[in-house]
Amino acid sequence: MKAQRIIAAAMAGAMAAGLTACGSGSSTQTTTTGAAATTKAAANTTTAAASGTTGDNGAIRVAWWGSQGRNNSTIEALDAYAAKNNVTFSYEYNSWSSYFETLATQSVGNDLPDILQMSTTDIINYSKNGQVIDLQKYVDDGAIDISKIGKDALSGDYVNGALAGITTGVNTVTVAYNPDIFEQAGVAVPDDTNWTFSEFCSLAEEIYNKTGIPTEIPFITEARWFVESLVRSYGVDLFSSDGNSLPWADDSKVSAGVAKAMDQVYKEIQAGVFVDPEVMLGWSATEDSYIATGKSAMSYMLSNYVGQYSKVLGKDLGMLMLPKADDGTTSGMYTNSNMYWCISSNCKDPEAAAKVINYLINDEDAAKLILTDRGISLNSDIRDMLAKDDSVSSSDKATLEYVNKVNSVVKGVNPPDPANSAEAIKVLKDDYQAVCYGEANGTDCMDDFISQAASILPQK
Amino acid sequence: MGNRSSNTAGNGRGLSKNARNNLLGYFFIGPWLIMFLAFTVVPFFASLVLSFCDYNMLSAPTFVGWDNYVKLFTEDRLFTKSLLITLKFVFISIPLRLIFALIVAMILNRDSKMVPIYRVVYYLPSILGGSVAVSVLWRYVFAKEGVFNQFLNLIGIPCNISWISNKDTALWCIILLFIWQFGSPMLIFLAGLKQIPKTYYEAASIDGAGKVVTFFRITLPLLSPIFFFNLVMQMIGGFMVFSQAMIITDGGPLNNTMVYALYLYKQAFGYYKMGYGCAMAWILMIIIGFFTLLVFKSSSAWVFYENQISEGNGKKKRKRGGKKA
Repeated sequence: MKAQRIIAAAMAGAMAAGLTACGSGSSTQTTTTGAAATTKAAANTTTAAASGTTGDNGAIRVAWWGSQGRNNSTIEALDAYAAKNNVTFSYEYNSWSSYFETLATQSVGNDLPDILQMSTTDIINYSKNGQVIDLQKYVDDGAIDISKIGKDALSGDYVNGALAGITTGVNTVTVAYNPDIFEQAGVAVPDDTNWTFSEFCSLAEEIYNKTGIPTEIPFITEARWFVESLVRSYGVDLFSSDGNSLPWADDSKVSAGVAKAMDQVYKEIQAGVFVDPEVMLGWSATEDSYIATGKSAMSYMLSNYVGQYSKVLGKDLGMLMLPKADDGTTSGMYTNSNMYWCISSNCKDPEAAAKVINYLINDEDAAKLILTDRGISLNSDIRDMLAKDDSVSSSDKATLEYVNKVNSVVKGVNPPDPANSAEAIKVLKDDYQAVCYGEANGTDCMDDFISQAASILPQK
Repeated sequence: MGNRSSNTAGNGRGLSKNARNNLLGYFFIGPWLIMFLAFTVVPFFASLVLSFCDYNMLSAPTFVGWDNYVKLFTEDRLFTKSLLITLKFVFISIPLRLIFALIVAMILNRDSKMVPIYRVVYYLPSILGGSVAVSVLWRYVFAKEGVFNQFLNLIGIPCNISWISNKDTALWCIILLFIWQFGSPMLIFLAGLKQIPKTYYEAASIDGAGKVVTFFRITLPLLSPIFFFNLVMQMIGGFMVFSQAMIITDGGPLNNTMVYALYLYKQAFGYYKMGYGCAMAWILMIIIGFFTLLVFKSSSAWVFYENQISEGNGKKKRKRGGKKA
């Protein structure tokens, strides 16, 4: 009797645990609202409210996604600002996977935070639908100082003529290489200013033949960056400036060139020169990847990841610019806004919010905390300061140098992605992976992407 | 004064005792009722309306008629693919899960001091399996250099397939995780097994029936209502499989694990097409409704209730009695 009762209780407990487990499994990480800034700032709430930030106890709500490191550094930087400027902040940080779900829900309830960290793919939707405001006014009145950034550098921040956000920093793409393996194979570091994809493949072959060490498939999970670099080497952008089409869709030379590169990728996979796609798609953390464990010679990646991979490898990876298509006419390199700071239309005191953004992008103390986490700063003073600062790691400095080098080759920053681009990019990714798995050839992939993109991108 | 007030109170009590009881009842179910209205009923009808709209969550919805539905059936390749994958998933994993649950339930349906512990142990995967952590764990178990391959190599089977990113095996990893979470149907089966009177088995063994015969002639028919219940519940759950596919493979490789609910989520939240996602949700509901109805309609052919048997016996007895007389 007693035993049965205990069992029943245990089972009930298990059931309850089951319910909670289900709950935590299906629901995403909830938005954590940080405690109101520092004690000092909290004490000053009234003054802040008096100075114009009404409602919500005068706290400026700032939302971002990111790692714990980013959360800590951002909070520290903003707390320092709060202490000096008689404002209070409330922080709403989230993981990447649930950030935009939360934002969309908040926008339905007219409850968007005041300052938003925004991605290049999502900014178009928020700007077009009037959820984030045009910041031009605050640039003009000096609340956001762009004197050290330059108007050209902000070219990527406009959506339909409105300054939808301010770039937090730029990043770019790179071929990261392991110098030790190059040395082991006895190959020289190539001149990356004018190299072609075929030359990249032969280099990978040479290294593989001499050492048995493979190279990673170019951007298997983000085909867009691979294709974009190839397309741009013909002197055209991936998406048209109005975002309604692929400007190169009718140019058979471009699509044939990209298709050829994709077929080369498959050929190298077959030969063992490139890592098996099944293996690459099985990786879930930096530590799993071959480049971070010294098991591959080269890897396409975003420049802001190089530091992280170098850290795991325990040695600085070298950085090369991406090769162009074989018959490409120019460098396919480009820089992207890593992300943006935006002000939501829900913000009651945009002037105060604009000043906070100004602090985040222009203040040296803030930059020392945030470093290159949100991309390489566009502010030349901050770039110089970081290049000299001892607390900046050697790999971060190398990234800084690399972005400077790329900046000298490319003009301006890529515009934000057009509406519906996320879906079109997903089609490209699927098609490219089908090529890597040998389910399709390069021509199939490009034909399908071009026809699908035509129906996915907004028609006007 | 006191008299009057007690009178009114008495009147109040007398007049509306029923209503008061009802009110008390509503008070107790109130929290549930409010939540049910707010989070089930309202979204239910809102999604129906939104499925006829172009809605990106950032601006007001615009009515587009049947556009979303037409597009789903005519243009969207991935819709058809995800539907087929989900059907495959359901038709493979649900029978296996139920069979597995039944086998374990039968093993645990014995009088042993260890049984309660086993029961908890076997129920654990159901608690853990839905969690993100186990899905992440699954990635590592079935990766190329994962535990599963290491085990195979240890027992002498050389294998270096990356199970989760191989286009043919990826779905099976998710099916396996789903089957492994057999705890709740197992508990229900166990309860069902305990309900079967021992006398039937005793009578059968006296008549010389073996274990196989008793299983098919006694256990299975008497368990069929439980089986029916489990089938319906599990099938509905199976159609809605989401988190495992999202975390283990995110629909890949080559969209071979893009189950319906995951694709719906991607459309609604990834591509800002909430109206389209709602239309997909309604189609899923119709599909689930169809299969549930199918199971219900077919149940008269294979589900037996104990009272049917006793009624049948009663009739037979009466007939015999009639003959004797």
